[in-house]
Amino acid sequence: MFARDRARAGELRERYPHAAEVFGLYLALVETWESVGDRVPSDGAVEWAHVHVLPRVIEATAAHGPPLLAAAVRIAVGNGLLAPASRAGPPTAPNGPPGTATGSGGGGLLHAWLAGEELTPIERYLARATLRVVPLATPPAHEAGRCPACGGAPQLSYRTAGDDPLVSGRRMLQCARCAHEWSFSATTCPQCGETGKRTVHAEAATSGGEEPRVGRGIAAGDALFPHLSAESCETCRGYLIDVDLGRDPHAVPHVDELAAVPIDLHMADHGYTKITPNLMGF
Amino acid sequence: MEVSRRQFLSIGPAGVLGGSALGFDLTESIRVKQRLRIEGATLSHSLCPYCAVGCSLIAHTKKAANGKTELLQIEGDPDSPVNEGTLCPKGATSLQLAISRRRVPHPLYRAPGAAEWKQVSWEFALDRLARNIKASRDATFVTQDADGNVVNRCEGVAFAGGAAFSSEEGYLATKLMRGLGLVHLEQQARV
Repeated sequence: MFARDRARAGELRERYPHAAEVFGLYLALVETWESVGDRVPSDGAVEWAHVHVLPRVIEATAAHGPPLLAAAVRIAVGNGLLAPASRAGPPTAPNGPPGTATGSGGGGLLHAWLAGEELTPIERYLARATLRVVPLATPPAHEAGRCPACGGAPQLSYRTAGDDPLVSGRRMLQCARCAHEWSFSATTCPQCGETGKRTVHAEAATSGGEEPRVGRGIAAGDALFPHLSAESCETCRGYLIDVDLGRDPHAVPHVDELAAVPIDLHMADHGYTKITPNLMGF
Repeated sequence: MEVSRRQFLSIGPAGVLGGSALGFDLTESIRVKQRLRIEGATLSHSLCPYCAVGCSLIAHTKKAANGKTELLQIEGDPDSPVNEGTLCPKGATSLQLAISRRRVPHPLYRAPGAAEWKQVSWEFALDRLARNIKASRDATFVTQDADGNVVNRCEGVAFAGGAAFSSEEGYLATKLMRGLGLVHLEQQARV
């Protein structure tokens, strides 16, 4: 189930030394997910994940995470803040089934994430890493730009690969909450719906002493991220990393997005905010 | 010891961790970012100017240093129900229609018998076109057909309307050509 993720993360760890620490932790999480992936119950999966997956995520993070994150997680565990008994209270809201945003009531870390409550980066990381193996499907009233399966915000955008260079692949969005993918307009902002002010930020190609140019079909010969760009909205200043499978058919969008830290830093410098920070907080 | 959620909130970017929200070392990423040459391009909807299919395009543009908008790239619009991201070879190279350095920007004229083209003004070119149309019309104008019916038509000039013609342009062109007596009119307008 996670073989592609592992292979790609290993490959990108070699290719992008700046993200070696990120992919080191990601690979440790992949091991965790694989160890429990086939044992997730169909009922009460969130509570089960809190008991059986969260401790393994904490363990992997403490062993393979960056020193400060590992220390922070250890402090939280030492204080009993993440203990299942204290954090995984059953859903209190009567309006939905267990493990759903409507039924979370904010009773625990995982339910808080599912309910869209404001969490610290560490809490968000732990919740997302834990829920990676939990299937979520709570069709809400559909809202443009939100996941049609669970109502979550998009994590990234990617373009499908075409067999023909004259064909532009469809733009797909991937959900930050349940990893569901859906087709979305290539020129619309998923956050605010703006259609007229999209900007793509990518490494510029120069040829023959011309001005640097940006666009699909033109990749700088020495580009570090030929298949990665950021697509921003000038109205809400939100952006998503875009992965072009036409340029790299071997890319795994949610893994490759983790390598785009320098692009994220560039966007932050220019006043843009990612619609949803990824698993590693970028 | 009882630890509140509020206290746990302090273990975050504003508290223990610095730089990255989760404490990743960003030194190398910052170095890479400084080396990257990232440019921005605005995405706009457009329409292929060639045939009657009317494929949707996405144009990448950028404000140049001189303040002019510069066209950088054209691709098929994957959202369009007409072409779903595809473009024919001609449409895919329509960028050259706008920015090709080989495109002739001025009217050229080669006089009868001359071997060389020379650059002329638009006034000269349009005047010349009008004269040639009139000459062809005068030479080929038919007032009566073989059966003696009055027809008043011009058989020596044909008119072909472009694919990007609007209804109004098509109406105007047809009025003008019918006024000249043309009977050979073709259109591939798509609206």
